[in-house]
Amino acid sequence: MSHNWRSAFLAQARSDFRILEILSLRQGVERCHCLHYLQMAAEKLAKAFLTKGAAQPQTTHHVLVRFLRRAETVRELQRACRTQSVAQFRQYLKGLMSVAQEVEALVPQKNSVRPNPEYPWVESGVIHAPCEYAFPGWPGDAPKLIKIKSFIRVCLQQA
Amino acid sequence: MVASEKAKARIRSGRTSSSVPGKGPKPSSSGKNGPREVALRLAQWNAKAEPNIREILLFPDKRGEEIRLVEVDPTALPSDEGRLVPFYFAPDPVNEIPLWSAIAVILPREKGKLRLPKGWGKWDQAEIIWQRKARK
Repeated sequence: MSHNWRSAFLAQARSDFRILEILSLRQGVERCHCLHYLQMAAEKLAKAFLTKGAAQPQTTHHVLVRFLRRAETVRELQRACRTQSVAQFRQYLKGLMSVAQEVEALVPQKNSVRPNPEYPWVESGVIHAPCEYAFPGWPGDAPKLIKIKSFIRVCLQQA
Repeated sequence: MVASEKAKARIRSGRTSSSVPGKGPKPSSSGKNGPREVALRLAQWNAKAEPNIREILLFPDKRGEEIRLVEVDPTALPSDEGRLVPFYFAPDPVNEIPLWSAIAVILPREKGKLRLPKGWGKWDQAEIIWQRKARK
């Protein structure tokens, strides 16, 4: 299949999101894997929306918050989200900002000193594996997870 | 926390029950792992995580196999085509949620109006199990 950068990132975001949905419904899957796929789906979706097609998106992982700030100007997204007005859509996006920041914070750092769902890290001299970490504040059933998943789903449907 | 450690060990070793909703081990119907107690714990947990939630409704599941929560939140995305579409989550024994949960987040204006999923009954069968206290 022939792609431009935008459609390729969208295709990968759809696939990542599908895996997230599958993993979310499987008992015994460690939380790190769901969070990893959530972060990847969100990042690729954001990159797809932030590129016009021909230009390759930037290599940074931190694009979700930027995308939410840009999203309020995308009329198609407002319609897809079925909000009654631009002001309501803006309010809705504002409500997603804190969870978007938390999703961005899941990206592994070079010096590996903070919890992330992908690579082991060291904290106060103790080495941790993501698969054994409970990710407090990220319970699988928290409404913030539902909110960001709902938004990603709508964006993927609309794109 | 022996039970919790056992659950963790079971998950790490991959020895968990079926991933099909309703096919896992049936929890006891009373005590801290009875459906209502689990629902209440889950509701309180969710309300703490999302300060915009105003109230949480519990829809009964006659089989006692699934927790069905509807969370009313003015910052939610409007529902699709007048239907209530819940997200499903697998049991989380490590966090003492031994049942499947189906959770939907709706706008206040949608309460009592959306079409419910099959088997959920009617809106008037729902019980308000958590409500945020009004600010003075």
